[in-house]
Amino acid sequence: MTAKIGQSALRPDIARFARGEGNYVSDIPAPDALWIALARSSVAHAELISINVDAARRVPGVRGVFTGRDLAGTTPQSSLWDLPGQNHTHLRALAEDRLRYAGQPYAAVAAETREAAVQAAALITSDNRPLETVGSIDESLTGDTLLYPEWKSNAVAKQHWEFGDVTGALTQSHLVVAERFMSGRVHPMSLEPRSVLVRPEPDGSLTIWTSTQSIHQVRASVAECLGLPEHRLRVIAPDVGGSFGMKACAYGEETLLAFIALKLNRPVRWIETRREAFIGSTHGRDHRFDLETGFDADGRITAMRGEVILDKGADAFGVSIGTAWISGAVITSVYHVPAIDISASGLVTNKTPTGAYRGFGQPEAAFAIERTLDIAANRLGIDAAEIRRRNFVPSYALPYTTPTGLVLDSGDYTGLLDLTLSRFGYTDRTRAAKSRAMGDIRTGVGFACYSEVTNFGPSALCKAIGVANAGFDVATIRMEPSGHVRLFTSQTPMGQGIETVLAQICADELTVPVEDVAVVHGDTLSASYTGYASGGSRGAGVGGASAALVSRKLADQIRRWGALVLKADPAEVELIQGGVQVVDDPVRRCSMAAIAGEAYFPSTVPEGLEPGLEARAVFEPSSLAISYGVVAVEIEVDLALGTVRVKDVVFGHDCGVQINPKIVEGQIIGGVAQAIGASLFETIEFDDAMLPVTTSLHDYFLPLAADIPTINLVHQTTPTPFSPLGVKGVGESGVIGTPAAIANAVQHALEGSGLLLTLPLTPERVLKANDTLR
Amino acid sequence: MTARVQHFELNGQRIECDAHPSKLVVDYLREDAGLTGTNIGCGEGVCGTCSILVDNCSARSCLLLLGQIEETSVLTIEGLAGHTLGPVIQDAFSRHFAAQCGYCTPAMLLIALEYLLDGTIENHADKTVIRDRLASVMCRCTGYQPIIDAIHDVAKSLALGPASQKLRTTP
Amino acid sequence: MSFVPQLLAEFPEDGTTMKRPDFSAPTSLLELKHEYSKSPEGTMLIAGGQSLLPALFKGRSMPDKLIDIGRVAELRRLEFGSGNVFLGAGLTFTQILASKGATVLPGLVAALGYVGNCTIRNRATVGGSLAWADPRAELSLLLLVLDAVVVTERREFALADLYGEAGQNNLAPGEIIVGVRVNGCDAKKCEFLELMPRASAGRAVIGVAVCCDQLGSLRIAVSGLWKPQICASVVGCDLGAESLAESWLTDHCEAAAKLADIAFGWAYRRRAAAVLMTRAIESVRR
Repeated sequence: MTAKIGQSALRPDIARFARGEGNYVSDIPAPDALWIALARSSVAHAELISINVDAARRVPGVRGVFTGRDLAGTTPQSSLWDLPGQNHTHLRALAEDRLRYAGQPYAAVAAETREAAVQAAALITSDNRPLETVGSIDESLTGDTLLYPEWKSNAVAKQHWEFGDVTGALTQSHLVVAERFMSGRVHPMSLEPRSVLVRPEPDGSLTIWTSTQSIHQVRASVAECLGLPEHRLRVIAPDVGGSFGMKACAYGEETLLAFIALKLNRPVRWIETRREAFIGSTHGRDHRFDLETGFDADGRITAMRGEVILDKGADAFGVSIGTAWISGAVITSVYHVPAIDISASGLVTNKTPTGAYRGFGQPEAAFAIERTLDIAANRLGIDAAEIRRRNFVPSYALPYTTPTGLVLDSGDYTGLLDLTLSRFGYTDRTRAAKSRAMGDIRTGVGFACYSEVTNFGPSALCKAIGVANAGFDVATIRMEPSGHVRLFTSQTPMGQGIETVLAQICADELTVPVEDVAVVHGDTLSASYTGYASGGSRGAGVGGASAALVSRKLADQIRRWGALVLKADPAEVELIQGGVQVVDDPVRRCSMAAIAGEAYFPSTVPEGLEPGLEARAVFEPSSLAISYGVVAVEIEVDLALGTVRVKDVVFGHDCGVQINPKIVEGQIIGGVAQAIGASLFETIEFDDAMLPVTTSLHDYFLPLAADIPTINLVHQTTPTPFSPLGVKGVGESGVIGTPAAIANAVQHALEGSGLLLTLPLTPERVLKANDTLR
Repeated sequence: MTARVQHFELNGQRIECDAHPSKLVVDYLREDAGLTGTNIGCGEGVCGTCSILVDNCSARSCLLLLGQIEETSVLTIEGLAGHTLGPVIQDAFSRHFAAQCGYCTPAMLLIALEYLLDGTIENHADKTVIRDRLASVMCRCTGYQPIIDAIHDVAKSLALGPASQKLRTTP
Repeated sequence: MSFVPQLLAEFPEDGTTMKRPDFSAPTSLLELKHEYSKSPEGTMLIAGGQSLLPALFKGRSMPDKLIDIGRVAELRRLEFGSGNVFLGAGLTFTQILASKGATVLPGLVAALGYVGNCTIRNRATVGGSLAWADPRAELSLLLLVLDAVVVTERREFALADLYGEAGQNNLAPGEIIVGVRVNGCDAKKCEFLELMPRASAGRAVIGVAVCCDQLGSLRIAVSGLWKPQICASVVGCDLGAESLAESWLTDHCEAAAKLADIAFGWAYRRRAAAVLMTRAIESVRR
């Protein structure tokens, strides 16, 4: 099958999944492996005085019990994001002298069966001296109780952007909207829990199978923590059952299992339970954004002053305050803002750490700015679409550097807004909504714009903003002697279909059927080093670019070998329909197999070539690419119960060139579904003692099919000039603008009520805003 | 310890096993029968990832004891292709991109089969009915839309004539 | 709080091997009675297991023995005449919904439609639902307003007497629910409404059942507020629906221990109960 860029080539892995042949870490047979179970803190904050493991050791089948003391000789896990002046937690996989959140592991059991390991872990107890808990951003700010006394405060790091005379501009503004926008704590909730299997190999090396997005980060982390050389570590990500950013960084369990495997010289495995996933995998969002935005009488933004604070939870590992950093950096979105004063910071609290989650600070920022624009439009008596048109960065000004230093690369913001709203029937629906009141049911219509930072990221930018790894991507390619192609990538499939996208790119460049390209992924043995694997919406734009570049290099070799076979001048031949032929002379043609046969067993080797067909290429993005879009929704709210149903979504977007439109569509629709969950149902709650109360899917309400309406897409295509294929990322698009759009629509339905400023829009919050809660 | 042999049919094959009757079916499938296509999502009966069919009715295999499937006919994803409708549903899922990470996919396919075989439903091609039925299984990736489209597609292609009745009732 | 999952297995303090509950699956009521009477204390009956197994995972102490009632033919009796219904304890909700008798019992299709989802309804049974006494269960809420009678292998009694203060069941050791009977429901009108956390599936936040007899007398039950489900009659009342709901809730507000709900606060649930009750009363009076 030909599968050019822009065609929806089928994903072969779906057929495999549909046969039950998914291969997740927990499916990998290891009958000789010991099972690991963890003892986790049942208190939020305490000094850890001693740990009692005797009873656990006596459980039949237990082969080892480990505590923080055993790990004392290892190096603490470092942070992927390290801003100037950042405080570090220096934590290891098991707590040592202090417990800082309920759920923090402090001991591990290795046993012959899972039952024995679990039973033994349940028998481990600790003697603690309770400490005051820090449960909120406000409590953390006071500094009365410090999680890390040596820091002298609870702040992990801070970032500040300043441009223009904000005070002056705000003073002279016709209207200032100043509100506090809260994006609640949610769980990324991949359906496959995390899982790790470590096997000591006969040659002294270790193989680690783990459910991760980032095989090289895991390798680097285990190598650093345990002082192991990287060429003795092989990290494999088999099928990954969803990750959504939650599996973007290395976790302590990978290091811990490698440590135990080496100590006991046995394979060891751990499969996270769902309860553990709720407390032990990183949470998302939990941002508070105080935003003050000035407007002139025509609704043009004059200035912004804002402070975003992330509740980081108890450990700054992984992405540190990255989500707050991005939130601050994208607050001006696709709008022209003449003056800004924005700060971003993250504070530690006695909760499960927050980390990367699809959207990564951008939904939080979009919620603040898009709610602000609706509030301003309402107060100024300007249409919500018109106020945005007046503030968009015009197309002629692109590329445009925002006051926080991001470059808006390409697009037509007004064009897409108008197209989407017209497809949605915005004007008619807005008018009709009011007349549709039935009993307690009201209809609301709203929309929000968004921008999405994609193709992360230029290495120089990474360095400048404190990200510890470079952002280039390496691809290698080999045409086998049979004329079939293998592409080796460091991108990680986790359901997004990147392997199909890459195969399509290669097939297109080499003019071969897509079945003739096999993509090898998820293995540090075959993949070149990548600082970031898949994440930051970079798979297609950055990983795809290196795949294109390497295919072009290979194509050049193929052309020259083909010319040799055809006895033609290399300048006269071209790759076409899976072979090489003389331009305009289809009779003089040879197949890939014939070319590969010659290249692997040559009579003569052309000047500058070597036997065989292999190439390597690096793509270093010169700039980010900013995707953007408009989400229009219609909702129904029950004024008496406060419940909200999303009835209709029209999603307009521009992610540049689409390689596989069905995959793009899947990314957006899936993202919108997650955003509906985070907007209406999903919230992680703690009690007064900072013990997590949401530890089960009985109480964490993932959206079900009936909660998601049919989502219709509107496509606009503006290639980015910063990627050889013109491709921008799309993986996070669905989640960014949707919460703000839903809130705008609910606010529309609750005309005249108090402002909706906190996500999720639980029935209780909706009723409160409507002043009907007695 | 109750020592007794369990008898049941698994993917068309007669099984005799001496695993403990209080063992969870999902553990039996994955550990004893080597059928790892049935995935575990929550282990508490909520997400539906581990769904299987017992006598053509879906069941959470994490809320089912081996003793409870005695003398029943069990279908897991590995046996789906052996059902007349299996390949049709599998093909529709592929064509509609009705999976992303694949973790819920085995359950979704089995729920789809149960739905298409359910004689109490008047119009299998009604998307609202399909949507409601899918409440049995959580999907975190797709937003359900392509899954609904795939099932709808199969339902439409099965003209509701006698031939399709036959197709449905033939195991 | 324990974050360690419970397994369906235990290690005895002194033993070396893992212990799972014994399991038996009698095929007749006689055999079931015999099995159960051997050691009623350490035994749990398992029907669908859709409530029992999650409770065991969450740390409820493991029984020594599980008896599966799924094979007992006498427990799968389904009888319906004009206004009379008998639902055997072993019937699954799917079996009931697929039967012609489902519509004889007013409100039954609506109530069972709120239970979990299709897969749960395939396994969940009448007996399991009643015996488990889940404060949010749909079937018992409906049967309470219909004055259902519980039939065990030794006696019959009003469903309301099945439940104790803390929401546990009052069955004697070894007592087996055979089924539940409802009489005279042809003249009754029922409305069953439930607020769920999402559009479909999952547990109830608030459930309300209202039954109106020929004389216009109402019987109202609510779940999601108190540990036991509260059911009470309103005789000869001509209050408007909203005032009636409010006064009913006020009258019973002190009645029992409040039910905790991680996701929905008391004030909200109290308010939602009034709204649903008002709507249900309006519906049966229509």
